[in-house]
Amino acid sequence: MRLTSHAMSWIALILLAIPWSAEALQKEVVAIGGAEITVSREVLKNGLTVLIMENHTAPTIGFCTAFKVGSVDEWDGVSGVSHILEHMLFKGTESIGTIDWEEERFLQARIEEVRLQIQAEQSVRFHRDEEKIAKLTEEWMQLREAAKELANGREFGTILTENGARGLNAFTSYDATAYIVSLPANRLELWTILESDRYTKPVLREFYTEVENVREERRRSVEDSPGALLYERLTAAAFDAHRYGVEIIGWDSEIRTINRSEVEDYYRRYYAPNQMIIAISGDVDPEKTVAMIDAYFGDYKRQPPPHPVQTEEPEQLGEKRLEVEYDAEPRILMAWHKPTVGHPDNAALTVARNILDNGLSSRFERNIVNKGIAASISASVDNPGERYPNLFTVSAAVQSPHTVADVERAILFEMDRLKTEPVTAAELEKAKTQIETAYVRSFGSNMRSAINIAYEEAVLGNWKRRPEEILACREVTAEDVQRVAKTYFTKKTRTVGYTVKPEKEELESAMGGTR
Amino acid sequence: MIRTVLPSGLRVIVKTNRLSPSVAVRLVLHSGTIADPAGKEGLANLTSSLLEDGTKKWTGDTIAEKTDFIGADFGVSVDRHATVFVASFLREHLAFMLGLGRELLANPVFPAKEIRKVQGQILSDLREDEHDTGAVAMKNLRRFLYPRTHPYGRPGSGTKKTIPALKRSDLVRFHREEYRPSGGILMIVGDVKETEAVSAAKRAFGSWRGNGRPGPPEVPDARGPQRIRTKAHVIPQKSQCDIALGMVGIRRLDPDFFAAIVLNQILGAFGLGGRLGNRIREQEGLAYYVYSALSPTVGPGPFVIRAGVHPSHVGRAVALMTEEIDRIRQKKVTDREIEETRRFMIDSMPLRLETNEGIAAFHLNEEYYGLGPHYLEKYRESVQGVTKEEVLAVAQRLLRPDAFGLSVAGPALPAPLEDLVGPLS
Repeated sequence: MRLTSHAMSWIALILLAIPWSAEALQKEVVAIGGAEITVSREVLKNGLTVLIMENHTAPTIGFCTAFKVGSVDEWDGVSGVSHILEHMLFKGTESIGTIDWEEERFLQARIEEVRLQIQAEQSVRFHRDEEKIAKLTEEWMQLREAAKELANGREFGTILTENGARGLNAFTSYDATAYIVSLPANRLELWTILESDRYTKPVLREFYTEVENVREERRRSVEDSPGALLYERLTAAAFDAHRYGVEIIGWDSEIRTINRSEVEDYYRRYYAPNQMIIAISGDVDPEKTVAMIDAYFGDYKRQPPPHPVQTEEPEQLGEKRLEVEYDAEPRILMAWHKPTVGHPDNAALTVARNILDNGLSSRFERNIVNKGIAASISASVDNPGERYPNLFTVSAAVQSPHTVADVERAILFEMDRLKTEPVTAAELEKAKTQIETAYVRSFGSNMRSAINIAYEEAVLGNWKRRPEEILACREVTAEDVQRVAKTYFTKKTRTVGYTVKPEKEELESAMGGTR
Repeated sequence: MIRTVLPSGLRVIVKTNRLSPSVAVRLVLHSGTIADPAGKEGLANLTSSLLEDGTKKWTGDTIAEKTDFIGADFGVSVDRHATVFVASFLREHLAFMLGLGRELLANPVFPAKEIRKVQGQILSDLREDEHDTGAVAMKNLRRFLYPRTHPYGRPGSGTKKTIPALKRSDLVRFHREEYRPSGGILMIVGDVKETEAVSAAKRAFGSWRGNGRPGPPEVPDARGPQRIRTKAHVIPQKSQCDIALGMVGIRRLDPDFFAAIVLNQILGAFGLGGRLGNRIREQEGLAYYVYSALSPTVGPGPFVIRAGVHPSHVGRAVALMTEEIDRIRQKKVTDREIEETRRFMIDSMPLRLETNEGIAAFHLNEEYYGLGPHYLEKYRESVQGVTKEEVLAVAQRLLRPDAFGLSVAGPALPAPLEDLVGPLS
C-alpha cells in the first residue's frame, strides 16, 4: 500500500531535533480520598494548555485532546456539526490519507461547488428544475467517486493502530469535544506529529459518505433506543431557549443537509490552540514532553475567542408533561431545573442524588426497585451538560405489572421525603465516601486520567474545579439537603415524560395490518 | 507475581500494580450455564443473581450497606462456562472484600422473597431483549450455528417459560453441587503487597472446602450450517436493522488460534473494522458500525460479522460481506496487512497490561487455559510467526461464502431476505 509508506517516510523526514528546556513546570496538587493527584501545567504562547500526569508503573501513555466547544455552541440549521466534525477529524490531513493532495484539493473544491448548486436548486419551492438537479447530482456522484480514488480515509487510524494504539476514539458532549488514544510510551513523538497535523491541516475527505454513517448512528443511538428518544424529546421540552434543548447528534434534517463548507467554517471558528487542552498521563518526562509539544504545535495560530453562549434559560412557569409512543417496555424520565458546578447549592444536590441513587443500599434501590415497582432506576445531576445551569434527572424502566404512573408516584414520594425529613448521618457519610471514592478510582488507567483532566479543564475552566466540588460535598449537612430539595424539586420547574405503547390499531397498521 | 494453590484446590494468583490506590479481584468457579439441567435453563443465571441478596452472616441490605459505605463495586456474573465474582475497591478494603467474596460464594441463603424479585427482573430483561435488534439477531443466528442439544444452543439466561418455574430447592441444589473451590481461580491485582494479599486470601478462603470440576467443562464440536440459512425478524418502529452473519469458529486451544486471530483482525477488526469496515463504512457509508468477532473459548464459539444498517441497505451490506469472505479465502492477504496486524497485536500488549482489570484478565486467561507460565513471550513469538499461507488456510477452513447463518432484526425489509442475499444462494 503506497499511501501509508508515503506517510511514514514523510514522518521520518520531519522528526525534529528538539532542544529540551529544563525549566520546571508549574505543579498542581490535590489531596483527595487518601490519594494525591499531581498535574504539571504549561500554557504555550499560542494559548494551548498542556497538562501532564506522570505515572511510571507501566510503559504506556494515555492521551486526550479536548476543545472547549460542544453542541451547546451550535446555532439553528447546523445542529450536530460538532459531532460531524469530530468524525471528520479521523479522515486524515493534507499529507496523510491522500495519493495526490493537489489533485484531491481540486476535486474537493469542485464537489462543494456542485453541492451548493444542487442545494440552491432544491430550495426553489415551485417549478424547480428536476432535470438540472438530476444532472448536477450525477456529476456530483462522479466527482465523489473520482475523489475516492485519490483518498485513503483509514490511513490516519492505520498508522496509529499499527503502532500499537488502543482505544483510538473521540466523543462530543454538549460542552466539549475530546479525542483520545493510548499508545506505548515510546510512541510519544509519533503521536505529537500526527496530532499536530490533524488539527492544523485537516482534510474533511469522504465527507458526504461519512454523513450517511452519522445518520445511521442517529438511527441506532437515538431513534431505536426508547430511553434515548425520550431523553431527546424531554430535554427539547424542558428548555425553551437554551441550546441544551437540542440533542448532541442533531436533527436528522440538519445532518442530511449540512455542507462540508459549513463544517469547515465551524472548524475555523472554534478549533484553535487557545481553545485546546492536551492532557497526557503515563510514562513521560513532563519537561521534555512540553518541549516536544511546543516544537510541533508552536506554529498553530491563536484565534479570537468565539462567541460566548448568551442565551439564558428563562424561568419555567409550570409543569410540562409529554408522551413518546414507542412499542417497548414503558419508561419514565423526570427533570427539574437546577444550577450547575460552581453554584453553592450544587454540592448538596450532588449529595442528594447519591442518597437517592448510588448503590444497592440507596433509597431508590431499596424503596422502588426492591419493591418491584421499577426494573431499574437512576438519577443524575449533570444532564445535559455542566457549563450552564442544567437538570436533575431521574429515569426508570417500569416493572410490570406496575404502570408509569406508579413509578412516578414512587419517585415523587422519595423526592418529597427529602423535603420533609432530614437524611440520616449514615446516609450523608456514605454518599460523601462514594463521591470521593468514585473520583479517585476514575484514575484507574492512563487514558481515564487524561480524559478526566483534559475534559474537566475544557468544561469547568480548570480540572481542579471537580475535586474542589467533591471536597465541597464533605461540608454538606442534612439541613442543606433538605433546603435544596425544597428549593429545586418543585412541580413548577419539572418536566415529566413517559414512553407509552402505541394504541392497538396504530400498531397493527405499522405492522402491515388490514387497516 | 505469586501463584499458589490452597489445600482446598483453589488457585490464588497475585500481582502488584501501583497505577492507582485500588485493587481488582476476580474469582472464577467452573459452574456456568452449561450446567443447567434440561428444562431448567436459566438456573445458573438466577443462582448467581441471588448471591448478593443474603448470606448466613449478612442480609442483602447489610451487604449493600457495607459495600456502598466503602464505595466498592462488586458483582457476580455467569457465562456459559463459569461463575465469576468481580470486585474493585480502594486498597484498604482488601480483607473485607475477599471475606465478602467467600460469604457470597460459599454461604448464600436464597431468601424466597428475593427469588421472586430477581425472577421478575430477569423476565423484564428478557422482554426488553425482544425489542433489542442486536439481541434478537444474535439469538436467531445462534439457532443456525448450534443444534438445541449443543450446550451453546441452549438459552443461557433462561426463557419466559423456564425462569418462573425455578424453585428455591433448585437453587439450593445447584449451589451445593456446582459452587466448589477446588479448581477455581482467585486473581488479585493492584496496589497490594503480594505476600500480604496471599495471606488475606488464605484467611478468607482457607476453610472453604469442596470438590468441584478441576477445570472448564467439556464442550462438544458443532458443524454449523452447511448451506445459507436466513431469518428476518420484524421489530416494528425500529429504523435500523442489525445484521448478524456467522458460522462456527474455533476453540481457544485450537492449533490455528493465532492464524485465526490474525484472520479476524484483517477481515473485520483492525482499526475501524478491517476490510469490512473499509468497504461497508468508509467507502460506502452504509453503517454506523460493522465488525467481525471471533470468540475462541472452551468450545467452538461463533465467528460473527455484525453491522447496523438501514433496511434499504441490508442487501448491499450482505453482498459486500460475502464478497469479502470470498476474497479472503481465495487470495492471500497482503504483506502490508499481515505486518500491520502483527505490529498492532504485539505493540499494543503493554496497554492491555496497564490497568488492574487488564492484568487480571490476561493472567486469568493464562491460568484458565493452562497457557503459562511464560505466555507473554510465547504470545509475541506466535503472533510474529503467523504467515499469509496460514491465514489463507484458516480462512478456507472456517469461512464459506455458501454456508453460513444470516439473521436480520429490525424494521421490515424491502424484499424477502433470501432474495436480498442474491445469486450466491
